[in-house]
Parts: sequence; structure tokens; C-alpha cells
Amino acid sequence: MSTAASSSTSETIAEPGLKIKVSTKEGEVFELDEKVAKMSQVIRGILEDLGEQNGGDDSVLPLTQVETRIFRKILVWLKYHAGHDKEEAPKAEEDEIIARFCEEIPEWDQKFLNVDQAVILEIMLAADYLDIKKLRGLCCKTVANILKTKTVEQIREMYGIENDFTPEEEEEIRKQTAWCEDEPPRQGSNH
Amino acid sequence: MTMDDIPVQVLMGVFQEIDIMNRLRLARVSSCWKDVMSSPSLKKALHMDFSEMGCLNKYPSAASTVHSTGSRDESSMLGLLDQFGRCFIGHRIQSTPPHGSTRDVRYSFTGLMRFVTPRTRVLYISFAPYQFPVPEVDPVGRRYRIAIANWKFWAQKFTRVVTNGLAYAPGDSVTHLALGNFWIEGRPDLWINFKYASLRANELARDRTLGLTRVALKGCRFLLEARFWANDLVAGTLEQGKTDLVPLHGCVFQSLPNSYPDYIHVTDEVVELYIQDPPKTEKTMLRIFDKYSADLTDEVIEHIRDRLPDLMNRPYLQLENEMWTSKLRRMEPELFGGQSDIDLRTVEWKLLKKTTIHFFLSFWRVFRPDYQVFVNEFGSLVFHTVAQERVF
Repeated sequence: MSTAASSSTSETIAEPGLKIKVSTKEGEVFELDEKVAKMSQVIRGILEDLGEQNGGDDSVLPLTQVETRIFRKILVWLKYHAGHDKEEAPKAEEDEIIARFCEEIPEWDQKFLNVDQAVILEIMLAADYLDIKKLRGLCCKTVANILKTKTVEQIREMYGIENDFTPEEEEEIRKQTAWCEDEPPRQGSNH
Repeated sequence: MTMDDIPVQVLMGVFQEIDIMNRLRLARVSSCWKDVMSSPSLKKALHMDFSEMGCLNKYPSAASTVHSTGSRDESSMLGLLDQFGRCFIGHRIQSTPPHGSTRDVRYSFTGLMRFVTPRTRVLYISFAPYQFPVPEVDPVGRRYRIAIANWKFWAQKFTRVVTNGLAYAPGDSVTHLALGNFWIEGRPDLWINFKYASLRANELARDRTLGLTRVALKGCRFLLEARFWANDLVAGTLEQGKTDLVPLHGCVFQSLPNSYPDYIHVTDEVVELYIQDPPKTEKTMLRIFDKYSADLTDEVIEHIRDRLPDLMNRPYLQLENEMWTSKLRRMEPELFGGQSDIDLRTVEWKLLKKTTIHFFLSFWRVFRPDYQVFVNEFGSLVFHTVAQERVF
């Protein structure tokens, strides 16, 4: 993560209020401002189930699928956006898709996600687990932007994906998609 | 952590962000990716990127697509988008060195359009920003003008094809349309087309309504010349197919000062048109036009200040006068909202919004003082100049 992305978070933490404790996969406990914690729909849901009066006691919400090193990164993102994002009414799914199509990834988020690709995948997975839609969407878009610039072979190598097509299947698919491959297509391949 | 560890629903989130061309290409990565790419739910939102439309072979033929989209009946959007493609391609071939025949391109385009199905709710059509042959700081250059002329032709066709076509698409299909880096013939043109299309659809089938509720425009350019015509005049009265557009009802479309760019380019925000809320749409458009329009020179302000009082004295312009004052009340409610009588001779033009000034500039009689107007013996308005005479 870039220095710019992490340095600006300290001044943007939400006003002190109710504190929520969560623990990561390794058992490390973090104390979050309520506003920050509730950006995760999973944590919000648990808190609502428990009743908010219990939020201030010593109970710790276990986030068993999130490693500490990834949660630290996500916490930086949550704190920044808790301080900078405007309150928005919930959008219809179609509106959210339109917004994602049309809006570029903000500069701060680009820097935040300018990390090793394996780490982006982990952040994306954790965001999915914690149900932080905006972060998940940013990760998806970032990964998509990377994929668009790579050849099929590069993608397989980069992400360790096995080519499980039989030679016949692969040849068939290659024929079908010859027009959109990276190498210059054969003349008249679209007929 | 590898891609194999990513659950399918997250993988779909990634693929959702990828345009159709790249989706097809990446289906070759593995059988899992191929299956996910073929998922019907992934067709809910489609991004069609035509940035490389000039490279014909980059696009699929109608018969060479990996994914079946069902019967023709299911994809009546095809006709619409095919028409759009023809217009678009027609322009590109005329303005750039052709990479193949028009027929080839149409065939390829149709192939790409097959991915729109009744499941498709969100459609995003985009292409790379048009690169002008000369820097935009020189908007009056000849080559720039030619490029603009080509795009004008195409942009107008495009809005009609898309909006009319959407009216004939399944009523519950595409509800959200986003256009990236397009050239739009002004807000009213787009709006009127959508409205017209909606009415036509309802006429043809009472139980069918236009599904489209929202249009988002990203990085689009809005033609200044045609901004207001549909708002105050009857849509569709603009004659086409001539070397220059013929103004009707006193409105002119080619007389903004040469120093002004023809288009407003909205670069850094997404313009949202709410099809079912025209006032909201109008407010949005006026705001962005004011924000992005070129500043008006003192000479222009002085010209309007001198010209309008002169026009007010002409009896045959009584209707125009009423329209102009009514427009002032509407566009400048803070200044004129409560006034029943407005004397154009006393208006402080400098205080008005740029959009208001542009409205007045778009009238032939305001901006072309050299033109004289008469009513001939048949009751037609006749425009006279030294070099030209026209009868409307």
C-alpha cells in the first residue's frame, strides 16, 4: 500500500463513539469506531442481531476468515472512506452497476490497491466475506482492468490457473474466438 | 492465494466489469472461466466497447460467438443496435482509412449484438475519446470543422436509432443505458427522442411501456447548436440532407460565434438523465452547460443588448418576444420569476447565465442582424440577405 494512502487516514477517523471489537483469524483483536465497523454489512448485521447495547461491552466479534495482515489493510480503507464518503441512500442494483461502469477508480483507491495481485485477491475475498460492497467492487474493477491487458497464457501463468481443456476443446474455442485474440487475426476470420 | 481460491460469485463480480469482447477472449483461460462467462446472470449488465471499431477483425461474426443467446425473438435489441452500428460504422469508414467493407463490419457488429438478451438490464456502450486531427485549442481549424461535421451526422443518427430502437425492445428489458464518450445532439434532442419513442411504443402495444428509466452519459459532448430547439419548438421540424441545416421558427443552429467550440465537453462528471423526470433532467443539463460552456465575450453581450431592443419594435416578432420573455422567467427565476412584464431593453444581460445567453444567440434574428425578414403575399416568412434569398 502506498504511503499516500495510509498517511491520510489518521485524520479521517470518525468521531469517537461506541467501540466495536473484532478478532481476526489469528485471534488478534481490533477496536473499531462504530461507524467504521458498520461499513461491513456483516458486522452491522451481527450488531443488530446482538442489540446495540451489547456493542460497548467486552464481546469480540470473530472474523474467522480474515487474516490479520489483510484486515489491517482493510481497516485503513474503512477509516479513510468513513471520513470521506458522503452518506448515500441505498441504490438499486442497476444504478450501482451503472455507477461502476461510468466512474473511474478514485486516485486514493488506485494507490491503495496498487499492491501485489495476490494481495488484491485476498482483499477482494475479505471484502466479500465482510460484505463491504464498495471495496469489493473496487477490487473487482482493478482485477478486471489487469485481466484486460493480459493474454490468456499470461493470465494462466500469473494466477496459477491450469489449462483444463482437452487439445480438441481448446482448438475449438480458439477457432471461435480467433477474432478477439491478441495476435493479428487471420484475414477474413470473421466470416 | 490464486484465482482458483476465488468463489464463483466473486469471479462473476470481476467478469461483470469486463466488456464483451474481453469476456469472450478470456473464456479460453479454463473451463471454469468459460462456464462462468457463459452464465446467464452475467448478461444482466453488458459493456460494449467499440474503441477499436476500425479494426474489423477484432469483432465477432454473427455465427462465431461462443455463447448462444437464444432465439431471435428474445433479442429484439439486435435490430436497434445493428442500425446503430451501421450509422456508426458508416461514419468511421468515411472519416478513417477503411479496414474492410461496410458489409464486413455490419456482419461483425451483428455478431457482437447477439449478446444482448431479454435478461440484459444495463447496457453500457462506449468507445475511446475521439482524437481530433488538430488540437482542440484551435476549434475553428478546417480539419476540426470537417471532423465535427462528420460526428454531427453520426451523433444525430445515433440518438434516433437508439431511442427508437429501445421503444421496440421488450418492455422489461434494458432499463439503464450508459453511453461513454458519445456526441449528443443536445439534451432536448435526446430527451425528445426518448419521449417520442415511448409514445410510439405505447401506441403500438398498450400493455407495453418503455422500459428505459435512466440514461447516464460519461465523457460526452453536447452540441451547442441544437440545445434548445426541441424545448421550445416542435421536434422534427429541422430539415436534413442539405449542406446546411435550415432553421425554422426563427431558431438557427449554425450561427454561434466562430470563436466558440461547437460542443460542450463534459469531462469529469457523469450526467444522469432521468427519463421519467424531465424537470430533474433539465435542471441537470442546464447546470452542466453553465459549468462547461465557454465564457461569453463582452462583444457578444453588447451585441445582444443592442440587437434585442431593435427586434422588439417589429410587430411580426410579437410571438418571439413572448417566447423570449417566457424563457427568461423560466431560465432565470431568481431575476424574472415574479415579473409579469419583462422589457428586454432593460435586461442586464451580463447577469444572466451562459445558457440563457446561448438561447438568445441561437435565434437567427438575434445573431444575424444582416438578415431581413418579410411576410410575402402568400403569408410566408421570407429571409433576405444581399447574397441569398430563401422562402420558408
